[in-house]
Parts: sequence; structure tokens; C-alpha cells
Amino acid sequence: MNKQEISKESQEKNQNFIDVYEGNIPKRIPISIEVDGAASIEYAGMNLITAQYSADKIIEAMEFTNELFDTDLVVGFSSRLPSFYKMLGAKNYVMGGDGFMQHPDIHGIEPEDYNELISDPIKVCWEKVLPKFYAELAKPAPENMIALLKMQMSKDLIMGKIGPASKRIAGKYGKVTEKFKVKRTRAPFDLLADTFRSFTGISSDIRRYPTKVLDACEALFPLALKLGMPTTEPAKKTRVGISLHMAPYMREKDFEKFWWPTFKRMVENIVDSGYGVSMFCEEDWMRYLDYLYELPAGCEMQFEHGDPEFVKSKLGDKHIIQGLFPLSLLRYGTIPEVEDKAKEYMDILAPGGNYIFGIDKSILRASDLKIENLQALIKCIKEYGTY
Amino acid sequence: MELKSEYYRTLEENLKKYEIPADAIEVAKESIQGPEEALMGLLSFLIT
Repeated sequence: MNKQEISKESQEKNQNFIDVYEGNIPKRIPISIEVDGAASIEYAGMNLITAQYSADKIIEAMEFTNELFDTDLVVGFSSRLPSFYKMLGAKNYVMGGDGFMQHPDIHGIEPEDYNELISDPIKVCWEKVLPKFYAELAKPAPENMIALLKMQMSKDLIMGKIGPASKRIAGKYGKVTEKFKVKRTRAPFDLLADTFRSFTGISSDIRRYPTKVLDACEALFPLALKLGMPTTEPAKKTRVGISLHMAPYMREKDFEKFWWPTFKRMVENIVDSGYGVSMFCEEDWMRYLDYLYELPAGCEMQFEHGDPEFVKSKLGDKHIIQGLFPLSLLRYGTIPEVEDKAKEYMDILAPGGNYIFGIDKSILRASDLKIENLQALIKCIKEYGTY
Repeated sequence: MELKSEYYRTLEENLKKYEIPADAIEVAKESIQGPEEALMGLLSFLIT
């Protein structure tokens, strides 16, 4: 889509994000509120258990949800679709009884596999982790090859419809047309924990095998960097998404030793290559704000917990603050309460720029909020959030 | 830092493995290295 074909409304929304990512004051606070695919299907009144198998149903739901909520971003899609995982016999993503995709805490390797992991993490992924996560991939050839090909074909088929539909919906409703978040990766320690050893496994490993854990983080660093590094022309608006997981559950001295060094180096590498980083700081990161401040300027940090004044004072002159607004208020509050709280957050966080409006948690299910509250919130930001 | 693995090859390694003639390097970049990089994307999806 060239610039002439993009509506003025979309161009302005694109520009608000670009301004913040480039360190400028936007005309209006950009809104980074996203709605999960499951919630979108539920808003459209469809059966979550069945609709997720159909690209056409997903698109129909996206159309409904994007008309329902005047968000800046196109919302209503999740890439974790059951067809992909069913074809592979997945154990790491399974559909719950109500149709929502669950992510059980399973681990890919045992402690005795650390040396192999340190020697060649990609080899361990293909030879040990994938056959453990996916029953079909543990079968001998050609069954495993056929399963993987079918899954990829299903993915291509669905994404071949979703991609163009997202662009059409963006155009129709005057939403952001640029794709800012082009890659996703994990902090090396989080990759080690979440993919290879699990939450409980890694918590024990840092006591029993500290050197192996450190060596594994180093071995995973080039892989995590590779997974996240964009291949497009460098630009600050081109963002690498990183969901941060384990740090809030660690003692600070363990965080400093095991978690932080490879993560910091990875972010520095991405930023040195000319791109931006957008991270979601799950749980409570308030004791780590001084560390986050050390990261290269212009990192977008979405927070789940924290006092906005404290976060602004610690990070606001260097990084882009996002999140914090309580999703619970959208569920239990009234429209005036939502509007008052939104104004309070904007008054604190917007001065001087470096702010994107976001909420503290993902909107996963329709029941997470009252529709009229989110509609009122978006309207309030658009009216009150101008510079 | 370069990524080293038995299951990931750089463009140079792929050109050698598939015996691509030296004068075809420029035109073969996308068709030869593209799938190698796409496979990393698939791996990322499957392990995270």
C-alpha cells in the first residue's frame, strides 16, 4: 500500500507511533490496545471451539471487533491457532474445554542435556525439544516430515487470507497500516527457562548447576538474537517484541548474575543495528527500573504493575512507557471511573512524550471488560490525549 | 556473533553444499538462503 492509497486517518495514526519511536512528540498519544483472537471471536458471538479453525470466521470476527472498538491498531488475531498444534500433536499448546488455547508448563530437556545444549542449541531444538513438544514430530520419517509440512501449509493457507484481510480492515476503519513489530524473541534466560527447562526446572538449576546455566545463556544468546533481528532496512520504528518473564520471580542477585547480562547485550545489539525494542514487563518490575534505565534510549516498556509516577520519574526521560492502566477497571468500573483514571494516567505519563497508552494485561476474553468501558476509554484518549 | 549449528547454514555454507556456481551467487541468495532463514522463523514459532 503506497502513501497515496492510505487514508489521512491511517496516516495520522501511523505517524503518532513513528513520532514516539523516533523520539518526537506526536500530535496525539498513540493507543497500543490489542484484543486477542479469542476475545474477538467471542465478541462476534461465534463458538470459540469451532471458529478458530476457519480463516473466514476469524476474519469475520476481526471485522466485527475492529468496527466495535475504534482502536489505533487492527485487533482480533492470535497466531496460536489450534489447527497448527493439532496437526503436530502438540503438548505445549492445547485447547481448553472452552476453546481457549492453553500453554502448559512443560520442559524440553533434562539437566543431563545441558552440555549438548551449550554445544549446539539449534540441534537440541530439532532433535530433542520438538519431538518432546510435538508427538507427530517424534514419529519416524516420513510421518514427522508430513506432519510438519501439513502444519506449515495450514499456516500458509490461513495467513494468506488473514494478511490481506488485516490490510483491508486497516484501510476500511482508518487504523494503523504500518507493521511496526516485525520480529519477536526472548531473553536468553527466559528462552532457557520457558522452552528448555520450565519454571520449576530453571529455579532448581541455578542452585544445582549455576555454571551450566550461565554457559547455556551464552550459548542461547546468538540464537535469541538471530530470532529477533529484523532483516528489513534499519529504522527506529521497526520494533522487536520481547515478552519478559522470569526476572520478577528471581532474587536480585540471581537476576543480576543469570538473567540480565545476556538480555542487555541482546538489546544493545538490536539497537546498535538500527532497530527499536518493545518489551512487555510481565508482573512487577519496580525493583529493576534502574537496570532497565541502562538499556539504550528509546526502548518501549509495557508494564503490568507499578506506580505511574514512579515509573515516569525513573524512565520517562529515556524510554517509552506503555501499559499500567488497569484492565480490571474496564471490567468492574463505570464509564466516569474509566475516564477519570485514563486522564490521571495521561496527566502523569504523557508530558514530554515517550508515552504510548496501553493497558496492564492482554484482553484475552470477551469477559475481560465491559464493551462500553473500552469504547469510552478509546474516545477519552483521542479527545484528551492530544499534545 | 555468528550462529553456528549443524542445522543452520550460512549463505556461503549453503552455496558450497548445493554446489551453486560462483557466478550465480547474487541471483541464488533469495532462493537458497531465504528458506534457511524462514526455517529459523518456523523453529521460533514452534519452540516459544
